[in-house]
Amino acid sequence: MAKTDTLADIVGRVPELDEGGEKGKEKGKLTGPPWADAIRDVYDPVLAGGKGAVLALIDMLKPIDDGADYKVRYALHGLSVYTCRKGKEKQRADVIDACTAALAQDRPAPVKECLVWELETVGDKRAIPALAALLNDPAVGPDAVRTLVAIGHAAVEPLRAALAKAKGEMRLHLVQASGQLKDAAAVAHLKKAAEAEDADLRITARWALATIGDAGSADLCLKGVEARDWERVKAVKACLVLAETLARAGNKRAAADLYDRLKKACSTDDPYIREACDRGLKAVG
Amino acid sequence: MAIGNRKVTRRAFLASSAAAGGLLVVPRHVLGGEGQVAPSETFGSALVGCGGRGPGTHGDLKEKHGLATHCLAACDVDLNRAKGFQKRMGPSCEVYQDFRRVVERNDIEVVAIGTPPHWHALISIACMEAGKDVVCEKPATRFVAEGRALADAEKRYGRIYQVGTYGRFGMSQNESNRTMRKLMKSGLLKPCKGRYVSRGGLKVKQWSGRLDVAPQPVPEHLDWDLYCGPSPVKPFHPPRHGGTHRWYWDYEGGGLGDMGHHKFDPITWLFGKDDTAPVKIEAHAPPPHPEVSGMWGWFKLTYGDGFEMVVESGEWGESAGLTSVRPSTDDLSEGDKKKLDAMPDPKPCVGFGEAVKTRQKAGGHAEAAHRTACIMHLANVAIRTGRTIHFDPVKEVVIGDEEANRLVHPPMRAPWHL
Repeated sequence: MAKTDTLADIVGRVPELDEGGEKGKEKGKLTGPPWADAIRDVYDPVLAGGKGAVLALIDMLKPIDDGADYKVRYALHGLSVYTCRKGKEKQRADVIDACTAALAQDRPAPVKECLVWELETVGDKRAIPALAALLNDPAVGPDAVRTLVAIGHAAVEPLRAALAKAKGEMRLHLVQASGQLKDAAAVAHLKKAAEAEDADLRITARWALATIGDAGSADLCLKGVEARDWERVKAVKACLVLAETLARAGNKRAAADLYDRLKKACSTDDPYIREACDRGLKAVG
Repeated sequence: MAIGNRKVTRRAFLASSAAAGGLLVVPRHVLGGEGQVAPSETFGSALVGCGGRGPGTHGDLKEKHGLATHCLAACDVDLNRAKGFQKRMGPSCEVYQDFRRVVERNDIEVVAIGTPPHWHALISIACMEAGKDVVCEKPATRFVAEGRALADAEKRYGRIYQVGTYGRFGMSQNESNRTMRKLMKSGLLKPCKGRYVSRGGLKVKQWSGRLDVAPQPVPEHLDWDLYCGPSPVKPFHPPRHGGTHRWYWDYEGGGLGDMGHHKFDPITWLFGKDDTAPVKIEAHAPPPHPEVSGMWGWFKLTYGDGFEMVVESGEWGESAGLTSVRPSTDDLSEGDKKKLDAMPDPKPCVGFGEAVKTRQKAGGHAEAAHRTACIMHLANVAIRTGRTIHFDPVKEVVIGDEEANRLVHPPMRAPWHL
């Protein structure tokens, strides 16, 4: 940031919204500057001020997204995207550090949500502790789970630790995260969830076990086929996905056994399921 | 249809209904008879997503695809829309707000989907998991990984899927187009020097998002949580619901993510790119907004065989300055021309109605729909990251760019998963 520029001056360089032409049809839209102009006029001047300047930009975010702070949101996201470029590692660290520092402060939930979403773009393993600290927060917890999943395998341990203690809706989000990240070490927690009272939890846990490819979960998945309606449809899927996952991992015997048992569990009213099992059996030889 | 614990198939239901006689009022066309469609050829149908193109997509089951249908369900997270469609279909069409209740009905065999695109893949997959055939409005998907799951489901369950765009059907009627497809699919052009360039028609500004909209209370007739579904729950900005959903990354991908499926469906067929994806994607666009789609100038895709596709919006920035180069059999050696002649000609695209009745793959099947949608999604990844990306068409991941892959397979909000 040049000495003569205030942060407000820099953010003010984000283009104004469109007037909308004669009929006003395109009013309120942002035509957007070329990257080179945005880097020269906005991103590099902010980044020159380091983490402190990014934090000051975050301070300008308003809790309600009604367009009043669109320049701030556009500039902040531009920093997230720009600093993911090769050669911008130091600046990326400043953006991550600013976002995580702001998350640790007392700020309105909508502002924290906005920062969690930014970390889905720019965050890496350095953002994990700050995001993990939000997993007990019902307002931003689900978004924190999403961002941790986006960051990937580096986040499995805090997600698993949170799953062990989670209740209610957060447990559902964390079960799904275990499946998305294929966390085999979470199988014990997932098996418990597959027998929970809540149907969404059971369905999601069976899916997670199937995508992980846990051979010991075949009975749990098949048990779901005894259910009715939506849960049954999803339990059949869990069986088929588990069989495919097992086959891909070379466990063709377990896959064939699961196809056989699923076929027997399905009545003559479900020929397409039995046909799916037959195709599976043929594939595993 | 579930009656108690017993599931009843269409044929079983119709047989029992006929046997019941006066106990149950069954429309004549359902029972069949002279000049009527036989019951075995009448399909129980449903529409999920009753606004915008939805009713037209359901109407196409008969008008375009020649299927005799009996509409049994109108489903929309906006109850007013579902009720509006029910009025047109009659009292035997039941109203639902949650698509899962439609999926559970065994008497529904064909489902038309007209929801916003963030629900397209999930509902299409769920319907196929329940043994139903699906025609779904374009775009087939909202991101790359959804498309792979969609194609896997079609294959796993042996169901018929058709995306709601039909450019490839017209394209395949022309002999010179069939020759082009055969040439491009032959693998004999090494490298292929062809290039397709197009300009305009993607409604970029029209479907880029407004940033001056304030959140409002959610209308009572709308289940906002279910509308958001796999996407994060955001404050209710009225344009997020309705045709302007196209403005938002959470639900679609602007004009490119929407009209792109119409534009690229015939092109992927013509140039034989409906079973693969580009390996390099470059874009010329301004920095992206986090919530809404915006402007872009052009993008260039390069396929593994060297074929290029350049798409200009004509609405922002400078032109890429490239022109089309039509691949030709003249580029082949005499020996390769003979090899080409010996190869089978492309098969005509099978319409959805015929596919449902004969259990053949429909022309706009899930794999083709997925590969076409990948063009839009990958271009949007390049636009949203501001970087040239390199893509593996087999593993379907961006090579060496972890952050770009977050847009290839973004996490979904529980309990929704692929």
